[in-house]
Amino acid sequence: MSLAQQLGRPAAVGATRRRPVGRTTVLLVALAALGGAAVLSVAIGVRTVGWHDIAAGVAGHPDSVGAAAVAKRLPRTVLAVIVGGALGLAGAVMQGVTRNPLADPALLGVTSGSALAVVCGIAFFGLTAPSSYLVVAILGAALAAAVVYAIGSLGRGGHTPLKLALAGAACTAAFSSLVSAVLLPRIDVMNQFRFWQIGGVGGADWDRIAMVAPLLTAALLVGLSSARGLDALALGDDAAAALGVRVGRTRVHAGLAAIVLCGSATAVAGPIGFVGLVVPHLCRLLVGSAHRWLLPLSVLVGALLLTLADVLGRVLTRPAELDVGIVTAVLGAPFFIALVRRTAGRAR
Amino acid sequence: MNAPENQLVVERASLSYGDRSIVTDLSLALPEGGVTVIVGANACGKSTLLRAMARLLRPTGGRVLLDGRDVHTIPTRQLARRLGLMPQSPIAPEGIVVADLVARGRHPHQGPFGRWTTADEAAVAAALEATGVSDLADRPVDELSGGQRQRVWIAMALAQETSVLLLDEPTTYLDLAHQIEVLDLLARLNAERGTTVAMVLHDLNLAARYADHLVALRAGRVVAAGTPADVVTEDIVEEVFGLPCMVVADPVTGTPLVVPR
Amino acid sequence: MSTLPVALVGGRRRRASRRRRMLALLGLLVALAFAASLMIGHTLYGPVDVIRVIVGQDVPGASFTVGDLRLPRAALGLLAGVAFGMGGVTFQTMLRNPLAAPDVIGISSGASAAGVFGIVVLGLSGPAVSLVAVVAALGVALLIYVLAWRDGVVGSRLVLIGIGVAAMLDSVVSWVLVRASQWDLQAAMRWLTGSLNAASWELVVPLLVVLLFAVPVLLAQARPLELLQLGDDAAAALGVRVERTRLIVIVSAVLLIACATAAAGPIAFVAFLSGPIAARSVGPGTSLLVPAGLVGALVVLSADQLGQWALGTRYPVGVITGALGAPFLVYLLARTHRSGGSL
Repeated sequence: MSLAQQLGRPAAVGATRRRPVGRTTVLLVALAALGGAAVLSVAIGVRTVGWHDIAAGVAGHPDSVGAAAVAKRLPRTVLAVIVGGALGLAGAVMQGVTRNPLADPALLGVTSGSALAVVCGIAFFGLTAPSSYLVVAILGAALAAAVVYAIGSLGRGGHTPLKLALAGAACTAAFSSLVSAVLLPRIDVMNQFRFWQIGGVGGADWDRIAMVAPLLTAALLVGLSSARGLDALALGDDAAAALGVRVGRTRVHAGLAAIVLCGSATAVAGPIGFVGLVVPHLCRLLVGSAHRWLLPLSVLVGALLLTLADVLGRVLTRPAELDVGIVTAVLGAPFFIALVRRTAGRAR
Repeated sequence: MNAPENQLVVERASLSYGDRSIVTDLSLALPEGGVTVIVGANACGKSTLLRAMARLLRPTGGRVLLDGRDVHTIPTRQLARRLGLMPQSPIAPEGIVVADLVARGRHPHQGPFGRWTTADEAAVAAALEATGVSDLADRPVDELSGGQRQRVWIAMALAQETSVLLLDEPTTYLDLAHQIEVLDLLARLNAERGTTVAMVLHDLNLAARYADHLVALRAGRVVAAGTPADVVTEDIVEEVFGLPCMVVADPVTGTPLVVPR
Repeated sequence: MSTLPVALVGGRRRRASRRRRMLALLGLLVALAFAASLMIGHTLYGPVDVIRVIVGQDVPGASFTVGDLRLPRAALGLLAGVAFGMGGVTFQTMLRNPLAAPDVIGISSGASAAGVFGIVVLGLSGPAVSLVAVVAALGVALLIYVLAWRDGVVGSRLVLIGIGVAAMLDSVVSWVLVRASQWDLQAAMRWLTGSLNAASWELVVPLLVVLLFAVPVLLAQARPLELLQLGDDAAAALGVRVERTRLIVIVSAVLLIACATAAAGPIAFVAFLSGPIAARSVGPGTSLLVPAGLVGALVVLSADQLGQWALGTRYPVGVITGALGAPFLVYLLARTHRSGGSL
């Protein structure tokens, strides 16, 4: 068994071989693609619009019905971009911190923990202000992450990808049950909740975005800055310490960034799964495992994928909409399964 | 010359995992009643070979014969009464006590209703006695030391009362004292009960010390097979392990001892 | 040496008698819980009345309440509990991991998704929904098994793929719920939390039939299943036909889980907790199938009573087991850690 496999970290893909395409090029292409996706997102919907409408809508002069439609889709697009970016980065950071190629905020129970916290906040503390939801969601995310990590680390051998995944699944089941327990006597809240539970960017508006943007930006910066620490962590705690990295501190910083990213994204868009799982793997195929390239690319690709998923959701079931959480789950799960088939263990 | 009876014979076997070929066209015979040790560098196919001998892997070419019959044609339970295996990383169910674990070894001998007979009880007792873990009979396996645990697994294989015993790296993760303890036990079992023993060992010097028949593998082929004196020579060691060395006689046992240059 | 067999036999006898005592105790508790379900309610009926109703006599008031309402409910709770308990412990034993329960790895999600889909999208009701759910659960289990197969099945791979499939199906369930009308929502919710409210003989009898078939099959595989715990290689070396045993056992367990889910909804955590609780009661070293079945029945019957009468609102049994399951999960894992076991 190679050392990489023993540590359970994603194998460094082509770390030292010459790449056919430079990494900067990849980043630029991703950025351009994101721009294109954003335009698509603004252009596509129930009503088709032309370029003139797009320009007018974006500039803030809704002088036609088409432009008004564009103006309405704008916050949605922006939300998809920032939530996608946040989830992509959170996933990459989580995978780096836990050395677990299967880490994903939804799989590890973090999103359902957020959900439980929000529901409890509404039901028991009568919270109504959206900004309070945000705080509570982040707290819930942090608590859930801590619980899952603790449970997954119990027993011989510390935490392994399998144990963490199982702990996450079991905790997700537990949190969901508790959510049901809280909601059942409160029909009005439950009605509201089932829409949030899907995970979508449909109800986007500028207020929500403004509320969550500063926190996301801060978390984004902290996350990106942990790149060097994560590279060292990938070698194992002892090796990283030998390289002079403060292992505990790096973990806490990176972990907090990931939690804030997940919690905020979940608070504003509901639980969206598999983005955090799939995006880092795709990015690794393109730029390798060096985190100073992987992390920024994960942000871009995450944003790209979520925007496209939202567009897909709008296109597939016209005139109705398929929420983005469904699209990512239905497309992401097969990818996850393919990944497991390729990597996890051999019959013995 | 009358060759010793060959119980377990590998006849031109080719083994692979998926499309990855590990062993090609390999032939090998285990001398009955002797201790055979298979050695080789990492990933040379020794564990794969052992698994094929234990019928855990189906050869893509050639066959494995037990007393002249292809092992894949022998019914599973019947084979389990003749051939025992101690795998590389056996898993002990949580909390199980030694006596119960060793008792599992009686499964091939038990009828469909699993009635526990005095014969079963005697076999378990004898196995515990032979491996020296009788006083640990009521202790949970989780609480034992590495050496003790290995002895318990061997006891389970012994309770199976087979004439052939295969062991895949029985000394891994053990310190030297415990390695000697386990190997001495196997040598004694071979001498007292006449069990044919075949094992994979990674330590060449220990292999030379305990083997009646030594088989050296490299890249899925047999480089040399015979007594330790025949196989452990400077040329063969260099070919199999890539290690330039000097071979001297072990001052205690007289068997070949490899000293790296 | 002559004293050894006696000491060995003595230790074995002690353990065996402890197991027998615990089993008897569990059986007694289940019987008590069953009896309580029949006697307790808005109106309390004494044991005499209950027995008269069961026997078939016509007792005013009691015949309806006990005979038509409580008896099917208690029977459903008992049978579903046994099914979940045995199905759950089978998966946990086979995959060598207490966390690898069918409600975690997507089997229950498959049944739920199909049930919800059937009600809301296809407009089915009653037995048709149950049938769809059973077929779907079996289909999902087969899919997971096939996806996890590569030169044989690795436990960890099966579990991970199951989690992925469960996530996908759960999102389908969420989506369907969003589309559901208020009316359908009530019916659909049953498929999400597990409840005995809709108990009727129509639901109980098919479940009983399935149990009568699947339980003996599982019990016959009890020893090979125990041996599988030692690892595939060791089990094969001991004469167990590994793949065949696994297949029989998985199909039986899935059948039990799917039918119980079809009848009572996915009662959270029963499949997951019954095995570990049984293991702690009866001790290691023997088959946990029967103890886990009894524990499952006990949990479902008790939780249902709790949910109906002990709290302010009437909670379906699934919510109670879910809420209690969470802290128990943590306790369970903390104990595992201390005793040095591995997950």
